Amino acid sequence: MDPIIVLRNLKKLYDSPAGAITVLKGIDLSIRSGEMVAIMGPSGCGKSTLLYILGLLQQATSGEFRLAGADILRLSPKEQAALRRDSIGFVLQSCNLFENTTVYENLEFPLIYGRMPRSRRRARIEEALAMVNLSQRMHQPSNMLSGGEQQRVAIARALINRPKILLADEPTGQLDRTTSKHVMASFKTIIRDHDTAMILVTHDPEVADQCDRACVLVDGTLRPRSTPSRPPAAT
Amino acid sequence: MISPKDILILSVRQVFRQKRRNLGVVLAIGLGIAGLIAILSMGDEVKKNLNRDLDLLGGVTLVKVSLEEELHPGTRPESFTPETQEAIRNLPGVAVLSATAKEILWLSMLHEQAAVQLPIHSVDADYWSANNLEPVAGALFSTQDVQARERICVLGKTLAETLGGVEAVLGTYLPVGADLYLVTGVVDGLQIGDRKRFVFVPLTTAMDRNPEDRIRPNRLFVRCKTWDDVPVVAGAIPALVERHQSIRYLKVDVAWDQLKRIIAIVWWVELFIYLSIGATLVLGGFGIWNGMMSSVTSRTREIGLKKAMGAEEADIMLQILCESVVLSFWAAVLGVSLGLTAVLVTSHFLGSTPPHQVILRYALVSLGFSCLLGMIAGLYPSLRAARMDAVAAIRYE
Repeated sequence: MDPIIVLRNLKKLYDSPAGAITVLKGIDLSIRSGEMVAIMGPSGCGKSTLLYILGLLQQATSGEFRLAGADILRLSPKEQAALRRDSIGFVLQSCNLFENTTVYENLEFPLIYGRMPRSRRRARIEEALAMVNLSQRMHQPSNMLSGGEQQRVAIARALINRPKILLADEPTGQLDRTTSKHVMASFKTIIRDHDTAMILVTHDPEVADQCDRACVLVDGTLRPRSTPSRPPAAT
Repeated sequence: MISPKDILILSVRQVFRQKRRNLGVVLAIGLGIAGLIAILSMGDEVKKNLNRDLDLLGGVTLVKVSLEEELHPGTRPESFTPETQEAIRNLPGVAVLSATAKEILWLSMLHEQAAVQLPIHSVDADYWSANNLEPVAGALFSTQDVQARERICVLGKTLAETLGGVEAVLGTYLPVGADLYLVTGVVDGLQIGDRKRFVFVPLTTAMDRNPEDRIRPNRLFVRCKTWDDVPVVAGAIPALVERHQSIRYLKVDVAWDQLKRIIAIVWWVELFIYLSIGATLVLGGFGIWNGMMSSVTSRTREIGLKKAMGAEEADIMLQILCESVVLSFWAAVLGVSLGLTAVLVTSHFLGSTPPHQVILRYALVSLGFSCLLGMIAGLYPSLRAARMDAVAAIRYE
């Protein structure tokens, strides 16, 4: 199977008063559909930058980036927004849900931006909430949910457009151990059932252990984690 | 771009779920709009009443038109023809026209064994309303009385009191020349002045008993609807009269100095009111701008997340802009409701209601104006939100 994500010699430079800072010095990475990859590394090493580049929210300075066959660096901002809308889901560490909205309304946003007709949205929302076992919370205000439930709603929202890639930035960072396990279990089930590729950034070795493989970002380059729980897939 | 229906639903939901936060802005704009509607809708009604009230002080809306042929001895007596009177009466801005005789006849009579000289003024039935005179007892003579050439008279209040009291004189007869005139009413008014001692008789009755042709309709009192009409009416009269008769001895009198003073006073009052409303609306606009800026700042992370979901810049911009318009529209609906209530209350006190089309027009203008205000005030915050860097927004704490 062809990889859904291919990065070759990807570089990212930031301009600063002291001169250009190279955060990513040549990333090589391939990820297949249904694969779950953890990216680890010390704070400030560029993990989130890599994640935002993969999510088409930031532009790489040079290199090659192919997503589902498309050459990303050649796409216009509007085309990138469309690809992001149709193919990518995001889950962040915290404050994922919108204020003054219900669970249903939170899940409706990606469908609105995806131009889905109103009549078809309800079924899709019910399906997404069933995936994370929160069907009974559909019309509750999102601020009335526990931290774990909020994160599961965020996962459902990230998956509602049936993305090819799921990106998560410390998705269990603010959850207790038990809730964290539940959330990771939800991820694994969904990834398996929907053949979605997932890349998550984490500091937690236990979370990384539950992934198919883990990489460490050091000095701007990506290396396989030295003690992976499972053999890494070929890059 | 997302559908207009979705944008509208999202905006209405956002605005109404934050109603406490928006209450101050809504009230400010609502009160401004209410004031605007009340003033614009009731403007003409208030002006009419203000005219009447201020007129009591100076009679500025009264145009006196007379034929002054007696200043040129040997000339033939002249009077205003019925056609001339009708033409002036039909001028736009004329509220009422009264035809009277300039000539005051004098009646000698004995009262309490003393000779009393009574001035007799020959007037028509519109004389009362043209001069803001009101009956204090009995009834003032009507158009029918004048047309029927009735031998009746109305006394000024002071004269009635001298002759026995305002109620006592009613039904008595006053000897005028060879005839007896029935006293039917007593009249008074702020502008009556020396005429409190007058006897008023129907012009037609006096003309019938006028062998020397001294009594004839040679002075017209033209009451205008508002002071804005006075210069127009006064200016139009000579040409209009000339179409029907000679204007050699025509004289048109207007209290120009008093009129200018009153117009100046009212202009300043109107200016003050409009500036107050303008200031309220501008403050409301700034309130919306400030509220939307604060909303955009507090929702920075939300905006970042929406961009991550695939929202385009136009989606974000339109939603914030629409929220601003919904907010101002909500304020305008409140303002229109308050304004209509104010119009109803004012109408009750003034005793006159503006036409419904006028109220509807100003209500629609206010709603449109408020939406425009919301659009202008929301433009910069919506642009700022749309151009926000998605990554910086997601990382915003």
